[in-house]
Amino acid sequence: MSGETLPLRLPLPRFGTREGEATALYRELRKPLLRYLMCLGLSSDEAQDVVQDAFVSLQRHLAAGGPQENIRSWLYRVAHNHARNRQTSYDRRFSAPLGEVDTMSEAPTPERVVLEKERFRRLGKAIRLLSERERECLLLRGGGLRYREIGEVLGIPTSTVSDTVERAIKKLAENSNV
Amino acid sequence: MCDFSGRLVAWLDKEVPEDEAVFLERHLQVCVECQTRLVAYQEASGTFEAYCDAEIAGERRRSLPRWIPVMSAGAAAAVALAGLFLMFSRGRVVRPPINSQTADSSRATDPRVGTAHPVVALQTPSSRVSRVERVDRQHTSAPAQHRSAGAATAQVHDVGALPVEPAIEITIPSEAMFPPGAVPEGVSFVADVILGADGSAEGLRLQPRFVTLERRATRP
Repeated sequence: MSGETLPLRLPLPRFGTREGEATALYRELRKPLLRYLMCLGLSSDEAQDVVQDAFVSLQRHLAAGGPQENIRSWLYRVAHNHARNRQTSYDRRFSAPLGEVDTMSEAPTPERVVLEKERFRRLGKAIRLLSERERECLLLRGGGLRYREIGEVLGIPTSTVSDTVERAIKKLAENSNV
Repeated sequence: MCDFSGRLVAWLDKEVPEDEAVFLERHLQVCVECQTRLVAYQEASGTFEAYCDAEIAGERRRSLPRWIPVMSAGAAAAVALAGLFLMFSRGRVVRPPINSQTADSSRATDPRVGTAHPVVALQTPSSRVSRVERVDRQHTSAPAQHRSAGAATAQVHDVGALPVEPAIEITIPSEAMFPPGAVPEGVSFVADVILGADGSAEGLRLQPRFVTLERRATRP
């Protein structure tokens, strides 16, 4: 054995061969996903965990040669299902009255604070009147997903998404008088 | 209600076919009801997004680790204490009578010794690091003898003067500096101030310390 060099082969994981794609998707979708999950009711820590799990699943999916079509809705669907599994916190975001949420972004004047708080109070009330599905559709729409993608995430037809979004926005406008 | 009002959001989201979009846009130019609805829908949609952002911002603030503001406050307090200590110590530099032979040999071996106040480094070269510590109230009555007092005190007696403060401990109760509950029990901060030969501060290092909590006495 002396002087003989054995080839060293480490059992590297098979996934990661399409790292570039996964990284690009991570950069693009991490923040919208976090936003979506937190709006669904997950805490910041829970949302971060779910996003991490979703991207690990994505990497495995890509490494296994899974289809890349509609990868955005695929990722949202995985994250959505992870969030669904955390039933304790899911959907608590809009189930309680709006607490001490800082609604002002910059240079608040007293009048503006009062008006803004009143506007948000009415809107919070209107949001709580929406059904769970309507809220999900609006949140996914806010994340920039097309109706087709929203349908893929939630497992419903595109026409149903269209009707649901239309109905939800109409409800918000009528109930919040914004 | 206008027949087209059910397609306004889809049109806003560019989710209607091209031919239908053209038809709808023509209708919008003449239908006041749809125009009004469109504005209301746009506003509701925008406010919903702002509402979500505000909720998330609030959630992020709530989920900040609680020790971050405490650490910041503690660090600020330690810096203030260090400043006080420096002001205090620079005003009372004592030049005790020294053994010139010891001084010369120490100066030769210790490159850190400055020329302005050789005594300071002579007695305890390691005492360039002086300590300022904030501990909780139950320790305020105890004199600061428990740390690094031994050798330095002996040297003080040898030369018959105050050579340098090897370890100065300033104790300030947390209630005097922070609102109640801001500082968790059992945490204090130590500021190591590195002094130059002329007594000026050359550096500052902060370290959180965890004071051993005493268990409540139980009856036999």
